[in-house]
Amino acid sequence: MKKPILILPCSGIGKSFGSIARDATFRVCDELRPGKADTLCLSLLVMGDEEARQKVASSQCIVIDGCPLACSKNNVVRSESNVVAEFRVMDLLRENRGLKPKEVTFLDEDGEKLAKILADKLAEKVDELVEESP
Amino acid sequence: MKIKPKIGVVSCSGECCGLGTLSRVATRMVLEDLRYDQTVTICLPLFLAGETQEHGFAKEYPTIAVDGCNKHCAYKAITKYSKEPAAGFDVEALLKEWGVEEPKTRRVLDAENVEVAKRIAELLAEKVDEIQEAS
Amino acid sequence: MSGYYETTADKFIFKVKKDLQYSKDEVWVKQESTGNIRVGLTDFGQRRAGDLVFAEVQPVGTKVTSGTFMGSYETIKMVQDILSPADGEIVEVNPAIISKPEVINSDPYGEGWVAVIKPTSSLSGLLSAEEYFEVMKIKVVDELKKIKG
Repeated sequence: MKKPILILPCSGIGKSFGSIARDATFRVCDELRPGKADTLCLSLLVMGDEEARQKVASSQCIVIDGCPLACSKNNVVRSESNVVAEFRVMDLLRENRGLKPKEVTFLDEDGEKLAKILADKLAEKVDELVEESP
Repeated sequence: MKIKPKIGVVSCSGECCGLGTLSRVATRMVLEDLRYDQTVTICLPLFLAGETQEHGFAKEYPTIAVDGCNKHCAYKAITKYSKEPAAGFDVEALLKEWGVEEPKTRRVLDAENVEVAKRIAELLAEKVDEIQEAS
Repeated sequence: MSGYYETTADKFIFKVKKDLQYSKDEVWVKQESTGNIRVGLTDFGQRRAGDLVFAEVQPVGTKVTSGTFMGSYETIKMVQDILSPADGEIVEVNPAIISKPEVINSDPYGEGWVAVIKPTSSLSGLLSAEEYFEVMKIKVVDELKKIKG
C-alpha cells in the first residue's frame, strides 16, 4: 500500500486563514481521501518529536499556509522534509474575490466555501501524487 | 491604580485529533469573548517560526498554555523559547477528570463538544483572572 | 541608534520611520533628489488593515490632488482608499504591490512603496515623524480592537 501524502497546515489561530487551512486538511484526510492523506501536529514536529520527524522525513509533504508569513512552510523546511507542493489560502482568496471569510473560531459561510475549494484542490493534488508515486 | 498585565493565551496546534480542536476552540472563546480585553493571542505556529513579537510578549508577560494532550507542545514551546507559562491546561486530562468522551471528529465539534469547549473556556477565564490578581 | 520610533501595544510593535514625513491619511512621504516624492502606507495603516489581498493604484500620468483618491487596497475586513498626500502627477507605480500586495504588510517603508508622484505645488499639511508618532500612539490605543481581529 502506498504511503499517505502528508498535509501540514499552519493552523494559525489569529486569522480565519489558519482555520481554513486546517479545515481543508481535515476534509481531505478524514472525508475526501482517507488513507491516502494524513496530517500531524506541526508543533510536535518543531518540538523535535522523533516519530513526527521520521514521518515528515519519509513522506511527500504538502504545506498549506494561511497567510504570507508562511509558518507551515518555514517550520517544515527546517526539519528534514520533502515538500512537494505549497498552497496558500491568500492565493485562493485572490481567485475568489467575493469571499470574505472573517470568523476564526467557527468558520462562517465564506470560510466554509473557501475551505471546500481548497480541500478539492488538495484532493486533486493528493491523487496526482499518489498516481506518480512508486 | 494597579495596572493588570494582559495575559498571553496559547493553544497547541493540535492537528492530530479532536482534542486539539477542542483546545483551540476553548482558547478562542476566551480570546474573542470571555476575556477579550485582558488577553493576547499567541499563535503557536508563528511563535515556533521565530516571530519576535510573539516571543517578546511571552518573555515579558504571563502566559497560559492550553494543550490538547499530554505531549504538552504549547507548554514546552513557550518554556523553551520564552519563559515558563504561568499556567498550563491539559484538555485530555480534564476530560478524563470530568468523565467526558473525547470528540469523535477533529474538523467540526458537535453541540455537546461545543459545550465542553465552553466549560474549558470558563476555567481558562478564571485562570486569567487569578493570574492578573496575583501579579 | 534605530531609524524608527517604536511603540508597543499588547504584542504589536508599531514603527515610524524617522526620515519620512506623514499625512493624516496614513501615507508616508519621502522627498527624493529628483524633486519627486515616493509614497507608501504607514506601518500602523497596514497593521490596521490586516493582510492585503489586493492593491490598486491609478496609472502613471494620473493627476492627483492632496487628500484625494490615488489608489486602494482590499483585505477581508475592508476596502480602503489610498489618499494622495500632495498635488501632482503619478510618474511611477510599484508593480510589486499589484502582484504581491502582501509586501505592503511585510515591508511598508521599503519594498512596499506604492507610487512616485511629481508634485505640482509645495508640500503642505504633512507631519514630521515625531509629530506623526504622537498621533499614531493615540490611534493605536483606539484601534487596537480592530487590529487584534
